[in-house]
Amino acid sequence: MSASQFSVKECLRGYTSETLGVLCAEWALAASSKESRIRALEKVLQDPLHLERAAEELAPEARRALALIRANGTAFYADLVSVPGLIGDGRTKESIDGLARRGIVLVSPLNLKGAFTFNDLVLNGHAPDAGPSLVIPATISRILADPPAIKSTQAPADSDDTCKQVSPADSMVWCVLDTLRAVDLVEPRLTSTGVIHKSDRARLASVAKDAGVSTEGLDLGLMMTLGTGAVADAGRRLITTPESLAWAQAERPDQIRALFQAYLSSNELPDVKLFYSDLFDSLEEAMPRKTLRRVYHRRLAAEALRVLSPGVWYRVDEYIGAIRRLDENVFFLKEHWRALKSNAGEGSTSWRQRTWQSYEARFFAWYLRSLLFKLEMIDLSESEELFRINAVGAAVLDMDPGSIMAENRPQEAVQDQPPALIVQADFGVVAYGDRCSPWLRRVLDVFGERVQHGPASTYRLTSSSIYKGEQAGIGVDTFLGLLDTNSAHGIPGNVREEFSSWLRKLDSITLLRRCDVIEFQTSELADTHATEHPRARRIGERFIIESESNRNGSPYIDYANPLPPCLDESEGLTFQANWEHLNLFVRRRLEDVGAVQEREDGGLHLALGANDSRNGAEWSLVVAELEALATGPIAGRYRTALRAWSGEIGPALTRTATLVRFDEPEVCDTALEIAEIAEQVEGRLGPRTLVVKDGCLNALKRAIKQHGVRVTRSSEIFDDGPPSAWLDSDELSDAPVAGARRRQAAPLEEDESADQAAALPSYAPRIVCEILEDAINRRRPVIIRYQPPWSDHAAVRRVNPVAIDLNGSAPTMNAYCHTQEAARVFKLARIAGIRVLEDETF
Amino acid sequence: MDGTKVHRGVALIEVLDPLVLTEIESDPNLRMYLGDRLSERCIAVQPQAIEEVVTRLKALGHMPKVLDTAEPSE
Repeated sequence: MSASQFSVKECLRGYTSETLGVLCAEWALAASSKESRIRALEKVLQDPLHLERAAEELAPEARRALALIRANGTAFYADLVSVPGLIGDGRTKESIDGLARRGIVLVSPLNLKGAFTFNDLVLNGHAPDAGPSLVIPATISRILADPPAIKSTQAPADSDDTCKQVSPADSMVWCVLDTLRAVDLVEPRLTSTGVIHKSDRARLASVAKDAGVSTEGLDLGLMMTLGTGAVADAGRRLITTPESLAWAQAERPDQIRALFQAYLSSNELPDVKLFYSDLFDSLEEAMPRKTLRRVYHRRLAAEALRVLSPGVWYRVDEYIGAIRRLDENVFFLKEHWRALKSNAGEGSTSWRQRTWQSYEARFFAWYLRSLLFKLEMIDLSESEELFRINAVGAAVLDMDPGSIMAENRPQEAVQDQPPALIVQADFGVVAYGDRCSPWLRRVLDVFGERVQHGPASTYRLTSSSIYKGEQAGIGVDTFLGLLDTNSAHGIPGNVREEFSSWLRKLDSITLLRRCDVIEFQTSELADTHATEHPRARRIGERFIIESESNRNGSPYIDYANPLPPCLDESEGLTFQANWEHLNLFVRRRLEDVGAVQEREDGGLHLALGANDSRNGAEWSLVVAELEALATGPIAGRYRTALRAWSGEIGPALTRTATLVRFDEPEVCDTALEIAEIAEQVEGRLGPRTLVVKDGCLNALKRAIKQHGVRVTRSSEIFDDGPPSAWLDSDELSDAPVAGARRRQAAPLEEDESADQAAALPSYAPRIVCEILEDAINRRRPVIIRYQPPWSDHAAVRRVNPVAIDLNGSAPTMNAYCHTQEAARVFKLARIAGIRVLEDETF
Repeated sequence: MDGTKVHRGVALIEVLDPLVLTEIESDPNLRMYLGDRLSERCIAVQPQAIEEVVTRLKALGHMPKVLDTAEPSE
């Protein structure tokens, strides 16, 4: 039960002064201004004496309306009006209006803009999930007692014959257990709209069918297990939760109560779809999610049961008639659109009569004869014409069980039942369905592999099934204890021994999913810390796991985000990485590139070598790896060296040549325009320098002198500077500035793919290349986290890889990008995470 | 700077027998997910690759136990 999150004053501020005047008149308060009216009403609505007196005077239907609002926390006015059967006496609107006029329910201040009048209730209250919503102030909510049951008369009937028994295979509890097992086996994927994938749905249905569960039973089972929390969405996949074990272990009435409550409150409508397949879309549209209208048919049917006496026989027809008397419009039978959808034009009385019998009556008969009977809440006569609420039903419906407890004792209490299991020496377990408790059955489903289904199911125990049980949180000891208790001849010795061996195996490897590890620069520091923190767990000379990492002052590396680059250029063909920035995966990646040495301060030194076999690999992949790890763009010398070592750069050629150098580039330009000079020149080496053809020096000197330029011999070496200096400044500005982009590990943008992006493993470009080649061969799409050059934010892309290009300055992937809906080229060095979508092809 | 740094949210593999860790390290399909060896019985793993590591370990015949976080020492 939740009271309003808004105070009385906050709600009243949303009312107009005139509306507040109406409320004041109801409480006989004299106040003229809006503020004084709010103050006066607030005082009254927080005074327990006034409120208790007002609560005593409330009519039953008003109390039922209040209970509905209180149960939901808030309710739309139109939603309340649309469920008159739960309020009763056909005075729904008057009751709610009366409560609103006295301020016992207030209108939520959300979206009111300070202008609420009582007319708004009627004018805006059409759709059940829109218009004014009503809340109950906390002071009033506290003093409200449970409302009386709705008025419904159903005459008892005489029992005509014996009770029909529910076989374990038909029981809803077994159906739910089989649903849980199917979910365990399939772990169905969910689409973005929350629907189970088509192929997984088919697999679920197939597993359920093998276990004897119908599609209808599977739908109800899924609905109930989701409602109880036994099955939950874990990253777009449905999985069973520890709640499933708690449910299986509970007492039978508690199990049934949980299932029935889940059915009552679920927003899924498999029951409606079953009976109104043609009208389902229209019905669903008129029953918005999270409204009372959505679950009205279920609650109304339950309310019609609550007025009955447990243990007394009633006619099924009478019960259905009672529901019709409460509200014939439960499935919109009186509304014009339903008649139109059914091609009935006006919806005459005779049409309504026929339709009720064909649909509503069948639905509520199914509700009793199939759902509640299989939930073991009611007993049915052999003819299925009569029913009575049994002890379990009375407990679930919170009714006084009266004298039926003794005669309808649940079947588990029967003593001297033969053993439920036979454990065989070949690791098979035969389980007799009618003797197994739900808990035993669930544990067997989790631990064992069911190889044969039937009244006597057979399970096979294997090391992997033990593993599954352990993963589900059921200890092997618990399992062995159950087998021992329930088996006819105990557990054979060889099975017990094998279990011990499996247990040892289970303990041999432990994966810790997420830890905070403190790394110390020296082992002495770690010793000191371990002494000061005895609960901290030491896992190496310099490493300690702390469950509550509170070392705020220390630098940290967050492994949930892409790891920051840490490699800095150093002299020659080496790199350095400082200890503070080293993550736990850098060393291994660097070892694939060159010779790694640990420095005295704990940092790393990487040297690239000509004779290193690691550098004989594809040079562009090594460069890509270095680029991915380096804090800045790497200098050309590394790239050139790696290219040269891999044999891609031809030899440097030498030759003795005669050079002529002019003081100014303009003179050099002019010289080349003169044919006599140009004939003697082999080429130009810079803005001022020319190379003379062999044996043509004297002819060149003569030609130059003829044009008035002196020529002298010099042994100095003239340098025209680096090629970049040969260009004009304008040209320089267009040169690529590789250092303009600098990558830092930036957090991902807050979008819906952030979780997905965080879960992408990162690899060295060489591995990325292998993964992509494999994905291309098998035509599998991949998700990549890509660091575009123009942004600090990594982007998550889903791409269909087409080809890998290892030629050129950087290895790239050609792919179709789903985000851009076009072909794109991605540098492998910028791929910070990748996962192949194994379940899909392109 | 007090000579410490924190690795937040890293995944670890712990084994009872150091030989098992050597076997894991020598598997080319697992090696790509592994990081530094913190001790002879403990090695860092990419937290994003836990599923792949578990699948591969199972394929190698192991039965890895997956815990969300480490339990404090008694």
